[in-house]
Amino acid sequence: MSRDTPSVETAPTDRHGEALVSVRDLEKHYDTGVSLLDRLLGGGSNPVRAVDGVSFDINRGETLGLVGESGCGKSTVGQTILRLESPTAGSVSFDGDPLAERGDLTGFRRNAQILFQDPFSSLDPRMPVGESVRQPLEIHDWPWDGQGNPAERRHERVAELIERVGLSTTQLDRYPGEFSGGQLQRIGIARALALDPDFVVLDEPTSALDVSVQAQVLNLLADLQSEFDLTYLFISHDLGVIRYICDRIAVMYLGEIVETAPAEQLFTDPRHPYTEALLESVPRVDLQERERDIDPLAGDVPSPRNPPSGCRFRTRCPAVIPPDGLDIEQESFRAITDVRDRIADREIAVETTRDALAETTEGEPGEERVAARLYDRLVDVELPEPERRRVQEGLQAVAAGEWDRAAEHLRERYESVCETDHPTGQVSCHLFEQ
Amino acid sequence: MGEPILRVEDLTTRFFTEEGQINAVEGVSFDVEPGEVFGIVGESGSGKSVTALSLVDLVESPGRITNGSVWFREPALAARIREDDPDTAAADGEMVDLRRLDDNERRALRGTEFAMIFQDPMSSFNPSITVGTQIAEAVEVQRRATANPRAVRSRTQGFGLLKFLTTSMVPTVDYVSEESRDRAVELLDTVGIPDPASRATEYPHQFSGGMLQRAMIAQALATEPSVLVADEPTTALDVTIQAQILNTLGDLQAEYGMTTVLITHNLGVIARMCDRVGVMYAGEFVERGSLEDLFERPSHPYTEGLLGSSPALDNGDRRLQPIAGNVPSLLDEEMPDRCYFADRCPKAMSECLDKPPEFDADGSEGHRARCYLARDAYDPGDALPEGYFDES
Repeated sequence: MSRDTPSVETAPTDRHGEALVSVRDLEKHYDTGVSLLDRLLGGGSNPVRAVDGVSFDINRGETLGLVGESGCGKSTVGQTILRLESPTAGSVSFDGDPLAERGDLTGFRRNAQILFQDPFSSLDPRMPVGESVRQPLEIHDWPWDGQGNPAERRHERVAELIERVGLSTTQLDRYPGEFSGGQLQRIGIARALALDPDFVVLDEPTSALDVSVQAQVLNLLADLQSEFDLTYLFISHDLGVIRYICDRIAVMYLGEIVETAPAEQLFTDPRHPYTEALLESVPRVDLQERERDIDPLAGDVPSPRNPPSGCRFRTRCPAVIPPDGLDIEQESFRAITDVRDRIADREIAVETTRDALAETTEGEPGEERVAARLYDRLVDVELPEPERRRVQEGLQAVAAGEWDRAAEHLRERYESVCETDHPTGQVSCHLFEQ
Repeated sequence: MGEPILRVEDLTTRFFTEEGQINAVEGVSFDVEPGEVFGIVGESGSGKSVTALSLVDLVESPGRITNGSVWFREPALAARIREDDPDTAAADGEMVDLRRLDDNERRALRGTEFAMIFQDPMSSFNPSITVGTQIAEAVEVQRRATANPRAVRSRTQGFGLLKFLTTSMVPTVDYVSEESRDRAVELLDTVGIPDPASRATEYPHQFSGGMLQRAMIAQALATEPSVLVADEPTTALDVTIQAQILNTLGDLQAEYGMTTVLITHNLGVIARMCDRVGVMYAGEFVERGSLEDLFERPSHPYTEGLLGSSPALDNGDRRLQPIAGNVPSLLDEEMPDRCYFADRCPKAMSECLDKPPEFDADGSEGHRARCYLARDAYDPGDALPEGYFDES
């Protein structure tokens, strides 16, 4: 097999451990456009911060796993690295060269390929699969050494690829509709490997497949990696799969990487509270599973349009750090923080509560009584007396319609380092910064 | 084994499509005891969802349940039916056969004693009605059914000019009563939705996926059902949300002693929730037994294969043992007259070319497998020659 970059031809194995892909402060914001109405009202744009400043290296020959829940931005990272999306900030270097400085990306595109999640929609339904696999060869004008008859060489190359991924050459003239999902994903792999790339982004490559077929494809990917000396970025939400195939793992949450660690270490000794919760949440195929006590994360992922200040995980974190001098249980502190978040989002139905109170009693209920009712509805844990009073006072301000005063009153006492400072580091959590 | 609350016998559901007859569910039998969680696990296209739909009689055209019975324990009804007709086939002891009851009886029973949770909460709610109202509606149906068991019709049933005219002329007539609304808020609280009173007034799009799945569970609880059928209830959710929902389901199950039939493709979910499990392949139960039977001593090579191909969280070094080949077609004309798994089976023998019967397997009572290997030890000498199925 020929390669166009002489440096690789000389001694690829010597360069293991060197960074092939370097990502620095990569950012991808989707601005859904500012409407005329917004402009008239003076509102600025509020972009979706899909990827918000991620940095990592992928070393030659390794598989870096990127894991996270839906909407955390992991697929956008993959697509932005490959320049299928252009980043709004930050840089990506491939083999030492910053991509932004390359005028022509053709060489890079030849060397960096992608395999998508859904095999049914990533192949042209009206093109025989053999042609789909041949297309990259034609586009990049392979063979580059110019020897032999190009059409024949390409035909041979396609046959070689299709057999390598476990299909037969008799199937080359068939259309995608005639294959199962697992077979189509094999064809996608053949197409991605056609130009003998160094780097492949695998974007949830087995998520659409059944577990028995998933195992076939994972084993194939692992075999191909050692055979062709490939470097993978493996994007998945499935921690079992990630563990099986990856050397190092980066965990993403709401557009940021919260922890990076070697696979073994991440699974045996997770540091970040989010990583820990994620691992704990996965149901094990094990007889003892029923007895295992899972304390799942509360709540949902916040909107990437308006991520929380400081640490983005703090709205769901089971280990938020209370301010110095405030001696309080985590559960109570969590309850107070939740009330504060709702005040900040102005998400407390004061009117409904007032109306409900007015129905049961004579006359307009006072702010104190509305606040007491709100307190009962919003706080379901027993708070120590001084905190109970403080929160009541805050809710009284809410009942009076003074949201900002309420927020300020509670902030003074309960502001945590997790909301003021953005954590950094391999494990981006304030618990690990001291 | 105690007295089952649900006994499925030889259930067969087929779809009569333009391409031909599809044997989605073929001769499925199992018992479910009161208060237990029975799991059905299988890959896509194995017929597990159609089995769920068949239980609650929601199979839609071109599909039809062509054979079998779904026995449900309802002593009072069984006695009444026998009084009306002593020779009835619809009652057996304390059990009644849902498929042989007349339509009204069946609807009354199905609506109140059975509830179902679907995979995709977003498409299971009406987007233009508030969540609270939709749950209250289910409560109202139950309330009216108890008041007048013979006439159960919700406003969601029936179309036509008359209905259109009455609703447009008297729009203020509210189907849902105030008590039902209050009950809906209570239910939302039960399933762990914070601030349920104000969430009840919101529309489905204002809920996140996890919250909406909780709301669907609340709706299912509205009729205080005896049997809950949950079809992939957490598949559309992220893993942290999945853990929340499974905990909620587990708590409710313990609290109400609800019998649950849980359908999933995820062996981890099975391990977390189920007492006994059936494994489906190509429309059939290939093995069923306790969780321990399946995990510790699987008899059917397909069960072994499923376990071997699931990546484990606790051990990253084990190489996965996939099952070769692909999930088979369920089109009648393409289904061979042999064990459907034989062409993917690493231990296929010449006997497997006949249809294998079901055998009692080692382990607990009720551990059965549709495989000769459940009865006989495997002898590599009996194996079919390699490449036997390549031609066909």
